[in-house]
Amino acid sequence: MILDPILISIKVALTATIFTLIIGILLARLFTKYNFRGKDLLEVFIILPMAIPPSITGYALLVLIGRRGLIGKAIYEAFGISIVFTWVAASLAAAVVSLPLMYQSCKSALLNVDHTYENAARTLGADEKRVFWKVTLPLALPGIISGIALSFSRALGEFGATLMVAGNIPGKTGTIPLAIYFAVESGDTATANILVIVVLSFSFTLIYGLNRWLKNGQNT
Amino acid sequence: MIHVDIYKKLKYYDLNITFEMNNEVLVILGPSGSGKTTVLDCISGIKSPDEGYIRINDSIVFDSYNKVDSPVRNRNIGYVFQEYALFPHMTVKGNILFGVKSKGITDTGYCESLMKMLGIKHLEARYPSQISGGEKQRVALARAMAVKPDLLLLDEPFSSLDNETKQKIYNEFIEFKNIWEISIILITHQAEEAELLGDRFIQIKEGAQVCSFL
Repeated sequence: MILDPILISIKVALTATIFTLIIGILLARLFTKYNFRGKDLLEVFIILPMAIPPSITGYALLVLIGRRGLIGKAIYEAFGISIVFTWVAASLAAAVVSLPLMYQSCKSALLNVDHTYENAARTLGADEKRVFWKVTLPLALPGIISGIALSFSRALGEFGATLMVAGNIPGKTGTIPLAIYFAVESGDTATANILVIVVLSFSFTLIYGLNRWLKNGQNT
Repeated sequence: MIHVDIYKKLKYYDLNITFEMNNEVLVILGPSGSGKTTVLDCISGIKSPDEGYIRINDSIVFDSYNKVDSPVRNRNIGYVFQEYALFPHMTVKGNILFGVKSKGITDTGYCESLMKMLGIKHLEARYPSQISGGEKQRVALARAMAVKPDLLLLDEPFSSLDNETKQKIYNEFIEFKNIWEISIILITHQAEEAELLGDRFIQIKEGAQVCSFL
């Protein structure tokens, strides 16, 4: 059914985006506010999936979460669950490859917040938690929303790492990029064309809407 | 009573300033880059002096000898920043109530009367981008005063106003300082402004107190 890859892709991309949003903001906050040993090295690990072929990311994930993998084996022995070849594995792959985009967007958004506003909040008696939630985060919001759009688009288009850890099980792990690839391979260009139009329309609307929103925000 | 005696090593010179004041307007006068804002940042706790002692009424907020350095939020200081630093995503009312909510005060009656007193009540639903420079200045003053501070710091608050607005605000300032009866430190690089608004004066140049009329 043509609707299956669309629904799976939305589920996978949404899950990955929510995950990367939380982790991305936490990491960006950690890296912009604190100095600690191994900071530069850890940052390289976060950004690395953006610079290496997705198949390598997929292979690394397979080593980690495969049934005989470091984490996968422990999960299987404890709960009898295997993550690989499920939509969860597809979400994880999408999250890992889109995290660098989310992290970079959140980091530059937080760095761009004028510290005078944060200091003004402190002089008004706000503790660090209140400064972050009421001042820093709202002022960084446009950058964070750009990060959400970029990460969601990247998660939606993820192919290589997803194929490695989740395969292409129709109705289960078959996302839009995988469905397009296998439709073209089997000569089903009608399905491929429809899916391509869906992805292009969605991505176009998302980016156009975001640009409009950011432009309106700058004008007010 | 406010007691400040601080030393801080800066990039191009050392900042060294000492004064005492009590419910009056102390003007710190000096050219741009002379360390005026750093003095206010040290008093408010945004920056820490290398050595020295700062007492605000009964509380010692900084004492390098006894390793006391109270966080900014505990110093009960009102600070009007040079460009006002009004939160752009909050309305005028949201800005003024921010400190009150931070301190867990539920009675907002004082904020309401402050807004009426400063003539900004009708602006409460507007955002900072929707009000004029003079109005921003009043909102920043109301926001700083809303927490009933022990000390009010004003960092060149009139520098971005046109001459007509400035004259009006000067008169209001003189009126309010008599009503509020708190210690105010005003920073400016304009001698006429200092003379008009100040009770006592300190002139600094490259971090050093070159002249005091205390």
